[in-house]
Amino acid sequence: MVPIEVSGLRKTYPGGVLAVDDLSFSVDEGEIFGFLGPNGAGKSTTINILLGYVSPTAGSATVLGQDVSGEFAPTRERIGVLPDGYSLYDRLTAREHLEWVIRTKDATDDPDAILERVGIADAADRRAGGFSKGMCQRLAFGMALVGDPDLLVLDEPSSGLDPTGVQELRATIQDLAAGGTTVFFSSHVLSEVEAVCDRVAIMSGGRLVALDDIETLRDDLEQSSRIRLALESVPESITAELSQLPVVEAVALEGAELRVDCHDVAAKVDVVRHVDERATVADIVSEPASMEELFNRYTGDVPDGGDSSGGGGGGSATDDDGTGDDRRSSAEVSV
Amino acid sequence: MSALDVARKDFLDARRSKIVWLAIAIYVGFIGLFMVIQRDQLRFHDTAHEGVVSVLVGVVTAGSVLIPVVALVAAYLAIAGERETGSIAFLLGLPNTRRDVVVGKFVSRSAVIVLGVVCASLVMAVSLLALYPVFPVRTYLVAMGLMALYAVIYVAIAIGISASVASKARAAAVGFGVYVALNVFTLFAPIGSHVRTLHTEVLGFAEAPTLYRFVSQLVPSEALSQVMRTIDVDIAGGSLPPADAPFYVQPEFAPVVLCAWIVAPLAVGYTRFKSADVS
Repeated sequence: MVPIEVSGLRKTYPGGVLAVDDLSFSVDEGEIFGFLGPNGAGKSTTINILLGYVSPTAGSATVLGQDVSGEFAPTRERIGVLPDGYSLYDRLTAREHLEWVIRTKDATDDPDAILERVGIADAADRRAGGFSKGMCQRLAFGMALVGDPDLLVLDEPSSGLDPTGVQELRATIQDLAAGGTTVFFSSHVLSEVEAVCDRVAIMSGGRLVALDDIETLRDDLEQSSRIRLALESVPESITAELSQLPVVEAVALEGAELRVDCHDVAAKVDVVRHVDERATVADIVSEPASMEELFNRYTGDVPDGGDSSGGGGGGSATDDDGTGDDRRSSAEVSV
Repeated sequence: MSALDVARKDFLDARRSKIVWLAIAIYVGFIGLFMVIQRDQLRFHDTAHEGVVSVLVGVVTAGSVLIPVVALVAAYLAIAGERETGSIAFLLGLPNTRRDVVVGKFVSRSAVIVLGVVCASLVMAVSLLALYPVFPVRTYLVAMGLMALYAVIYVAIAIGISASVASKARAAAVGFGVYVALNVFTLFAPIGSHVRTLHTEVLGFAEAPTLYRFVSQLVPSEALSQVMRTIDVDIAGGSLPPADAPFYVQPEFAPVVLCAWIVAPLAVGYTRFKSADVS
């Protein structure tokens, strides 16, 4: 059975906000599926649809063989959910939270064993109102583990966790996946997804912009690299000219520094030659592209500040004055 | 039964809420005070029994203004609060349907408020035994049952509101509005008299007393006092409708109205919550 199958999914919120646009993908049994994208890319809306919190405007979503728009509640017995932006019940203790989940899921887990597993056994009888963010996250993760679910949906699972907590979380997830559990792992932090996931989907502006094995994405990355050129004077239209070159992926200009992303390493020389003919180059810095850049390239975010400083992913793909798919060059040229 | 799991967990949560107990304590304290003060009224009645019954009717009438506040406070955040804080993601991430949530919340908050009514009734019983010459058991039990039913009505209204809106502020605003409309507005004149003004003076129709009586009785507090009046003929006075009036203005119809006030708000709330985007 396909754990998650999404087809032609679309969600428009009142007021005309298009949160998810024609989204299709499927998750295979037993894999750790990374769901990546900047804040506002439509990840949470997608997860909310997958869990039946929000109904789609168009398209369909099937989870564990059951359409989420139908009688979906019984299916949740086999799903573990770690939501994002939740709050716990301040007046209930950690154990009471787990007892409730166990009873509701008709599971037979031992609350103490789960508390032990997520590392908060010593806080079992304390009320969640006094918990730190990290403890809340551990308890919420423990609640998701109840009943040995076939599918774990984790939305930003490492938020609030310290490095040890993140490592433990990672180990537990890998453990569960090895045992056949499918894990749907949503995050805006690339390195996290890179560390545990088999396949990754990248969302931006409500659309799926990439979906591949983590290895393939990495190979794609190795094919590209970045070069920084410090110029003594900046000739007019240099950015536009460079972006016309077939080897160039993106161009950005900050003050007198030109930043060029190339499709392959050899192209750097062409770029330097091209610029040298038109301006005096004061300095050249060549750097390998990072995973972050790959992410930025897919999501259309300008790295290092630029005009969309932080979290501007929400509308970037659609706001690029209609240039749509060509955002790799156009978005960055127009500094 | 998932609704029971929801109720059980929610009861555990709600009974630890200080604000709920504060509201209930104020209500219970008020009932106690009322019982002590009203003792003086006994001498205006022909018999001790009639006097005590009259005091108990007074307790219920006074309570009909106070109970809604306690019930609304105890339940208006039940669902809207969880939507605002995000804990609803756990509630709906488990095998609970939206109906389970509405029903479970209604059951647990009703249990909390009925506990409060039981506390108030104990205070009533103690003061009856200590301060009053007779203990009219039947009237006492009816008064207690009516207060509980009335409280449950307002829990249903509060849950209906809470299921219909997405934020605490809206739940509070709508709850306050409903309270003013049903309990403050009607203190000055029954709804029927406003309808009468509209009906005869604005629209120019002939008087229709049955209609006005019927409309007035649709308000929970009025339906409640209708039932109270049937407890004892001595205090019914001239307020009862003529015997040949239609059944829907007779006091016997009031329980139907009261039950409708439980079902309708829950149905409206559930319908809205069922199709709501919760995120």
